[in-house]
Amino acid sequence: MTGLMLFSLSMSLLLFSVLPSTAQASDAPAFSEFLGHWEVDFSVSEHPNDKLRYLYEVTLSDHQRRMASGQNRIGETSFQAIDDLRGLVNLGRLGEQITRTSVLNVRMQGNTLYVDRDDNFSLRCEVGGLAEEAENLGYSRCRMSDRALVFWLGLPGGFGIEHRLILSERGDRLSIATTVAADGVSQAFSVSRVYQPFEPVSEGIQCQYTLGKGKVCTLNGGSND
Amino acid sequence: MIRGWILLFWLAGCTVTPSPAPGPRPDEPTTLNRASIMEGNLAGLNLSLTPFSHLGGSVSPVRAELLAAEQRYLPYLLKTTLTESGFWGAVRVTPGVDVTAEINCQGQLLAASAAELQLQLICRDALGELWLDDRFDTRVARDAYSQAAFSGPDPYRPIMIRIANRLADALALLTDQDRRRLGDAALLRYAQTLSPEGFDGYLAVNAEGLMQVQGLPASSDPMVARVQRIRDSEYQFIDAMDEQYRLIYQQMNVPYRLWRQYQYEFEDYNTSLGDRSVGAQRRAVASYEVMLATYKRYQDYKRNEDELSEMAQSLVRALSPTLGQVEGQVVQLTGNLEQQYELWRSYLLRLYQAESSPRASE
Repeated sequence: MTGLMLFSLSMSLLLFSVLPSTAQASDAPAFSEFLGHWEVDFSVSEHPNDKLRYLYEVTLSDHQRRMASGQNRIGETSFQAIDDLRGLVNLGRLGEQITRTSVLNVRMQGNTLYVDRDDNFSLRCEVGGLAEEAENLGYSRCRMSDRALVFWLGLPGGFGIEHRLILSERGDRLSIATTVAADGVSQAFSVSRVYQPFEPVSEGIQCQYTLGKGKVCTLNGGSND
Repeated sequence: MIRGWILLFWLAGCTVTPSPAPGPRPDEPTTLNRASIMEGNLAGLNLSLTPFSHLGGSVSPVRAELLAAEQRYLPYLLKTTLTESGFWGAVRVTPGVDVTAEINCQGQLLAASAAELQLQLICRDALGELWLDDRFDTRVARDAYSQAAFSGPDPYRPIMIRIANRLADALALLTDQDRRRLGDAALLRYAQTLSPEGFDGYLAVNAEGLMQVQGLPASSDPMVARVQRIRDSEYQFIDAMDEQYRLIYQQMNVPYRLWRQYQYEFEDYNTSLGDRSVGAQRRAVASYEVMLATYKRYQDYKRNEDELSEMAQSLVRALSPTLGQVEGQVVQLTGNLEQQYELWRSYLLRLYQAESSPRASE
């Protein structure tokens, strides 16, 4: 467990240092305001590849400028700068992999809020329960921070992922800002996707179990047994 | 002086990373005892299992959900092993204690993880005689979760085999007369649940708290025929319930095994991480492939957990209604498995009482 504790600590410092320290602001939305079905609005969502290209160019030119002017950080070499850029590209590639979700279903079951994602596992948050949970692999945490519902996951190998869900003032848009950060990489990679509500179509199938015939289902009042 | 510091660091290192205590070794392979053709021809006693309870205590909400699924999966795994042994009549999993069965078993989950399973099992027959009250532990070998073993038996099967063999040993001690007496006792006990006063006196409790058959009603007694008819309806419903547990078992089989497999691997992974230096961990992050593989592993683990959790949630939600037909009347049952079972039992009781009332016999 020593390794887990070390990376948990370092990742907590890296990611949560940018979070406000207050647990929950008084005007924070209730969990119930996040509920419903959401689909991605591509027109206002960032694309990870574009974001990565931009960050890469900015970081590269920054390094070049500092090296040329002799203002490089203490002990920094060209090789370290290249390593750092490579690390950023790796975070971006991972960010692209984990932000492909196009449909969300946010629901409550008992005291737990579930964010079901169409292409990925569900994010969970306990209302009034444990905010932190050590798992077999890694460490997860969720909490309200200002107006954001923040899920954080620390994984072995020294990297962490944060999903920050923010509801618009009118409640008609849900933004998910995903940040991937890692030990040894000077900056985190973030990408933001925006979702809009939609009403799923009802399947209209009703089933019942009969002792004589087993399961019998009907569609829109018709029988198909 | 330098030697002193080296010695100090060495000692500090010893205290930080103690050598792990050796865990219990995996179980030796166990063979399931199977009934011979002659034994199989004997009138089989029916055995019913209820969903296992668990020890309680503090568990995370996610683990609590999964426990709800395991509590139903494991008795069904035991049921399949008992059925395969061939010593028993109908082996069923029922939502509550099955008053029609000659033997009832109730289990309690003491510990369940990928690497080990501990459970307490209590089995009693219709006369109240204790057949088994024991704790069973198993340690699962790593290769039980390997790809090669995936199509094979469940990694928890050895513990089920040991329980099945213990029950078969207990059954072997019964004479034919004992078996018949148990069959009679089960019918009388069931009859008493329908009509305590009608069947009063046939069963008595002795000084040890065990029931004894005092006599039997005449085989031509119309009350007995009615009880048997109602019991047949009850069998029909219990079989339908058992079918629901079979579906749960089949649906859980793959995700539950994968979930345990990942759990096993993560325990190893975490241990190996603890042994690695921080520098080694930092070097690992430079590789996109390593990060992606770690994330995908975690993703697979969580997806299986989601699937199991969804199943567990569906168990406590209302099922689709069940329609049953008894004595020409159609009955609709709603609610979850346990609620439907209670409704059905109360319906059968009302039916029996209605038939037994003076107006019914006119």
